[in-house]
Amino acid sequence: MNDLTKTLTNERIYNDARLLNSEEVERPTVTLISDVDLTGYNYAKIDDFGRSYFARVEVVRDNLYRLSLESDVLSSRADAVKSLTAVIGRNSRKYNSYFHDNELTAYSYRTVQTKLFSNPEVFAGNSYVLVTV
Amino acid sequence: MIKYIKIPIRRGTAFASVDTITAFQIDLPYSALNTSGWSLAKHSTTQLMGIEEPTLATDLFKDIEIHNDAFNFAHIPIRFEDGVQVAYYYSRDTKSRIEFYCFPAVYSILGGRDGTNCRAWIRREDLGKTWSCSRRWAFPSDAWGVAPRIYLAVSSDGVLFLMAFGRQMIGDDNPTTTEWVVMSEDVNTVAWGIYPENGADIEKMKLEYYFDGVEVEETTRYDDTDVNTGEIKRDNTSDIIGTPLIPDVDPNAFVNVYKLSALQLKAFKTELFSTSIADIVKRWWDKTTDCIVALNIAPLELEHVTRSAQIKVGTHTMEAGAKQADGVLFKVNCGTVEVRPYYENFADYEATVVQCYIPFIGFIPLKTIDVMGATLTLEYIVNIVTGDFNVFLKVARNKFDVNLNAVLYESSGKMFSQIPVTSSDYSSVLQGAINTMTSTASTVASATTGNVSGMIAGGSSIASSVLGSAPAIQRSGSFGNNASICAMRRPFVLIERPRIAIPSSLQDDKGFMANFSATLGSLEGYTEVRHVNLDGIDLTASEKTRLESILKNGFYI
Repeated sequence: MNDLTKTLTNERIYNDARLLNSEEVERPTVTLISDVDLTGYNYAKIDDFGRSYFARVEVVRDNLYRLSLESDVLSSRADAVKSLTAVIGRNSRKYNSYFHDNELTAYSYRTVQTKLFSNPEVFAGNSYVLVTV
Repeated sequence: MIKYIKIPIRRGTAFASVDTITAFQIDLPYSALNTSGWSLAKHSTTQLMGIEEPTLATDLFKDIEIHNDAFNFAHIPIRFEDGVQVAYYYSRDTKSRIEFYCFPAVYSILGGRDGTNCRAWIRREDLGKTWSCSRRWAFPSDAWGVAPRIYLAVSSDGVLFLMAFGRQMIGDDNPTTTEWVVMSEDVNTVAWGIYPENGADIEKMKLEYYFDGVEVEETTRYDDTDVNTGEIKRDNTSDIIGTPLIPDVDPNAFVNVYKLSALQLKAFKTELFSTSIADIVKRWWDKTTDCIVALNIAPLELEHVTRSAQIKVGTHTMEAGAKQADGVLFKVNCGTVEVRPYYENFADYEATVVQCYIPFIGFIPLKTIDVMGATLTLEYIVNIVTGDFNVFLKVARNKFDVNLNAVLYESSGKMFSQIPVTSSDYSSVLQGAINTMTSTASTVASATTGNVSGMIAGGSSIASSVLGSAPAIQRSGSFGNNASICAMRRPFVLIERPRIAIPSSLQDDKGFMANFSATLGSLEGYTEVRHVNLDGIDLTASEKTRLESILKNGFYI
């Protein structure tokens, strides 16, 4: 649903769909007659409105379908969105690992590692030290 | 001391290409060809899969680090590029090790000599698991004519293949020359098998943390100088703060300071209590032992004290000999240790705890942001007369545009252990020991109560499955001077880090944190926007609200 670029299949064009609420560009409802079963369809485009829509298809009666549409704001303005300049918060391919990331989780156990200094045996021996006066 | 070469295999390290297997040949020490050392070379898949004797391939490796430069052969830095270079490493020790880092597991081969055989151990360590899988190959003495070799191959998706080439094996658990050892994901098993052409039957280990993204550098660069005037605007320099110089003070101006062996000490005592000496000493003191200011055990060899001398008491020179110290203060350098980032992300700083064990002091917490990625140097300045010392921990790091080279931690204590020479001496030593035990008990008690609650508080944030700051706990109490001699004497750094869990699809499904400006069309994959201006986009007001919500909550480009 949040893909900027969608792959559409099985496209069908209907030139005689009826708009039930003509003032509603964002969430229009249309009816149309189709001899093809449209219950598996979930996406629509209305060129006159310049928008793509997510579609919920209902069967009114034989061959008559009602489509309740909600505009896909992302794909409807895909080119404009791509030209936007924004401050990016997360990305799959460009990132900086040194920002705290709440998506990273940790196991309950932790690892402990010890590293000797490079000259660790300086205190390996013993000597008597006598101070006289 | 084990010398080793570490070859990290992490994200961005081009060790394994997509279609080929990169293999490494390792000649073990004490072979006939190179009498005491390693060689490291890279081979192509074709050469190895043909199970033919490869020529010593020449190639450059990326990210190889040589951790001990005390090889007999000159140190050669290795870089991974197209091209060829032969690299040989020699060690006169009986054991050398090469480690391969294939996050989160470490694979190492230990080469060592066992009588007339040359053995290699393979083992795997996973973070959070104890290793329990190892296999050993032994090469009989009649194989000395040709160098024994172990091949390691790392495929692009993290499968490690091992093979011993062309040598007679000893033992039931050794592979034949045509078999590959596959270290399975279960650390308790090692699967043996013939390498099939397509590799389908081999259980594969996942390179969970192999990312193919691009690190975006800091988005804001601060210029130190004004471009127009050249005036320094922001001071990013760091002054060198070194350890103090030792003043030249003769300890023998009034007292006499000697280093003795046990035999010399006994000879001194025998002579001191002889009739002739006792008569001399009693001209100045009531008791014979009053000429002794101090008798201590120093927990080190005092190798710098070399001048032979006869022991003096008062103005009398005794027959007993010793080595006399020429300076009150001397330095003891424990060398360096590198605190290396592991994850190369924020977890190295926020969720990693670093402590340093300093002999005769105990564990001290270090600030992780001070020392991560730095080289630490530990140095003592010791007073040979009293056994007092100051210890300095210097931090050197050139990172984040700051070249830091300074003593950031300092402490003091007493390292000599007093030997009482009179009964009153013994009483004071005993009282000192009691005081030490009392203060140690109270320290441990406060650590137990105070820090447990701190750990619970820290545990809550971790229980919410978010990587948070990690608490440090007190690992030792204070040391009294006489308890020091029995304490641990090897300085080390203790690094406690989390075990990060990253699902394999997280990068694609949710991406990683970023903070940079970009045109959305230039990006790929999952994206979340922090700030965006939608003015000029032809949408209704409510549509713009929805669009902004989608852009900020995440979408796929």
